[in-house]
Amino acid sequence: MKDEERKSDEPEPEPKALESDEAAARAKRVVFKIVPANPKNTFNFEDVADK
Amino acid sequence: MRVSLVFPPQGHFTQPYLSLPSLAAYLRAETDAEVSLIDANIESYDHFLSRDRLALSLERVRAADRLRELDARPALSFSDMASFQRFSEIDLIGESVVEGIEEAKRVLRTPELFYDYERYLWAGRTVEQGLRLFSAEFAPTVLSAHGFVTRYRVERSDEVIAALTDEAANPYIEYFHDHVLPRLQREDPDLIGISVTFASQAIPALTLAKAIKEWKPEVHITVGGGLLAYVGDKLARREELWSLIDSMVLLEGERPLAELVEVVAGQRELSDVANVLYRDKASGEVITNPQRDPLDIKTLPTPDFDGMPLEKYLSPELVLPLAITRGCYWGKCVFCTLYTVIGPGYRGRGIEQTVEDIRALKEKYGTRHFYMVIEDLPPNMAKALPDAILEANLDIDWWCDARLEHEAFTEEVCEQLYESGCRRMAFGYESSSERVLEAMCKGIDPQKSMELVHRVRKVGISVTLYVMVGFPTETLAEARQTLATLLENRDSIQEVSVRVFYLDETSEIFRRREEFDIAEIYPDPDADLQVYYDFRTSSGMTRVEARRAYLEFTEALRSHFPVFQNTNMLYHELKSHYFLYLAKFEGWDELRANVLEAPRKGSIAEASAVRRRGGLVRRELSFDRSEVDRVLGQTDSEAVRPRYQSDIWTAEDLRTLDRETAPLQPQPSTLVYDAASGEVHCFSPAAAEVLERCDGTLTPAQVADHFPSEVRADAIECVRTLSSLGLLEQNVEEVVR
Repeated sequence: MKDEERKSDEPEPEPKALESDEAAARAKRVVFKIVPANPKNTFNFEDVADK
Repeated sequence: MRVSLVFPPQGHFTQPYLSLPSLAAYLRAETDAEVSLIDANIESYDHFLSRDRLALSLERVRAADRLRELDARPALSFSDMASFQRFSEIDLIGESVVEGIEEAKRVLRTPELFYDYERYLWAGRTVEQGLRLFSAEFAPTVLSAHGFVTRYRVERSDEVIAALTDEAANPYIEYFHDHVLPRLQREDPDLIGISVTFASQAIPALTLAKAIKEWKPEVHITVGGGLLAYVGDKLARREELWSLIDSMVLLEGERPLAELVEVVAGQRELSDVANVLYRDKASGEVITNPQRDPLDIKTLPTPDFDGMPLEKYLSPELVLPLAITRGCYWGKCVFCTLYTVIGPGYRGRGIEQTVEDIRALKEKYGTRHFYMVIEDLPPNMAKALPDAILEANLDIDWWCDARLEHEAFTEEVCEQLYESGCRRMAFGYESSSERVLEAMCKGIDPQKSMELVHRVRKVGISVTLYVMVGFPTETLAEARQTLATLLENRDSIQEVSVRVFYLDETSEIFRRREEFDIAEIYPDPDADLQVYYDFRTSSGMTRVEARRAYLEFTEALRSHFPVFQNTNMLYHELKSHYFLYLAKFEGWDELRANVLEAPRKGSIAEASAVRRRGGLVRRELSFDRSEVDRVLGQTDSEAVRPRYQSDIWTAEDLRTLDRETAPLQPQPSTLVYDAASGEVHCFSPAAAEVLERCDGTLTPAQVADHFPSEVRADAIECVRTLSSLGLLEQNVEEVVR
């Protein structure tokens, strides 16, 4: 009995995995992204030419 | 006899063009005509980029409230994304741009402000944003520092004619009516000459002609300039053209224009003016008069800039263009059309005359900055010109184009060039493949060329190389070898101008196209003004592969060349701005060390509170604006179909792209405009939250505490990014933990 009780007190391996998945999912959702908002996104490299 | 010469929009805004001053000098010397000059290009920029005009654009764009409607959609199609990109920016920055535009122009025109690089960057960005705000009123028309593109394609005369009456797409209808016509009415000229050098001027030039004819049908309007040498005879077939103009000058304009003065005065017949095309009033037939040998340019007077609005160019110091040669002394490159169309007959001005021109212009207009408008500095001037400039103590800065003449530009010559004030030289390098260069008839050796590049660079002159991708038969491996060579030698190359090869019908390669494995060309049956053709080769890259290679080039150049990095406006505003900075810092090394790579922006201290700077404007959006930029940026119009003047999607393109592009699902983002720098950033929701928490009471670690433990290090890194972007205040007091 005692053994069984002890066993039931021990953390289940499965929920532990779930918890790390959740953390990973949380981390995935939290993205710190800052990029220049550039309407053209590029310089026009042909513009160097003297036109 | 009164003559008004007009340079219509749309060209660059940093310096005057040479056509009007050259023509005016000749007319003033050779005729009794009273000549006035109207640079409607710079005048229109000055008006469009004014506080009142931009306020009107903002009001009109806001009234349509497009952003709210787009932002509420369940998903965005490709065409929605293009609108979303445009209107989300304007919604955010509109007021600040309206408020800042006059100051931005002042910065660009004032030396003490212009050479303060941070101020310069803000001003350049604000001017660009101003152009985008103005363009939005006429969307999808795009008016930029380099062009004017509408939904009407300039390869089709029916579309050009249709653009002349479309007030929703053509801003020049209103502008000319309100601003140029009143001036012409005051001057009441007998002859009006309109100079059309670029395709971007075609619609504005004819819009102006239409406005003039509606006012005064009897005035003689003639159009001339580089563009017409290519498309003049095709355009002449269009019936409507002859209700807008009376004659067209092909090739150089000095003598034909002087003779047109006599025609208008009743002293000469139109049939007796060489290089002119007109419609005979009696028969209705279009007559092309015979060509005459080009002028000996030694006989021409110094260009006369009197009457040009020299204070209006967006530049702190005047840079004057000066032609010391016409035509190209080499004249063999098979892709080039300058020697086949514009300038048959290479002619030089002569060293003594050039020195006198410079001296006269310097004294009269008080500038020491010159742009030598030449195809290539000839070997016989390579030493003689700098020697003469030094001998005459002219004390100038200048730049020019040249061929990679290994033997002519010796080390000693290069040193003299720098001593004489030469600060920038642009060379046609094209390719590092001997095979490709030989096929092009470039007459240069790639290894010797690179040796010369190092030599020029060593003396302190900034080197620009023109490079071409997709020359018929060129393989992807050859193109990549060229790119690798550019990257290997990047310490000696400051700028690269790369373009995809165009098949021009007036080039030698078009005439001999079978020799270059061009198996088929695809003329557009509706494009009666077409000059460039899509084609297929039986060897080398396809057109689409060439365009992809071009994109590889641009991406690599952006990563490896300091001038192209970030939002470097010096490059973007090209011509005189980059040159003036080079002149100010006496060469590339000093410019790079003191300006481009000078430390700026901030750093954070762990124990101090972080506070976002004042003047940040934020706007939350339902869609991820960075994803919109990515999708639009990777979809390349030129890869769909090569065009004469493109960069805009046709309705047909958009239908295809709407069908083929996955609709963008909602994903929130925040746009942040920094009024101090003029930069606009796109933030993910978490990054926006970090910015929100930087309120002056929390340290970076405390800002990060708000987030799950797994990402706290990322949050602190985000604070550092905010600081490096200059979005946080410096010197916030230390927080006692």
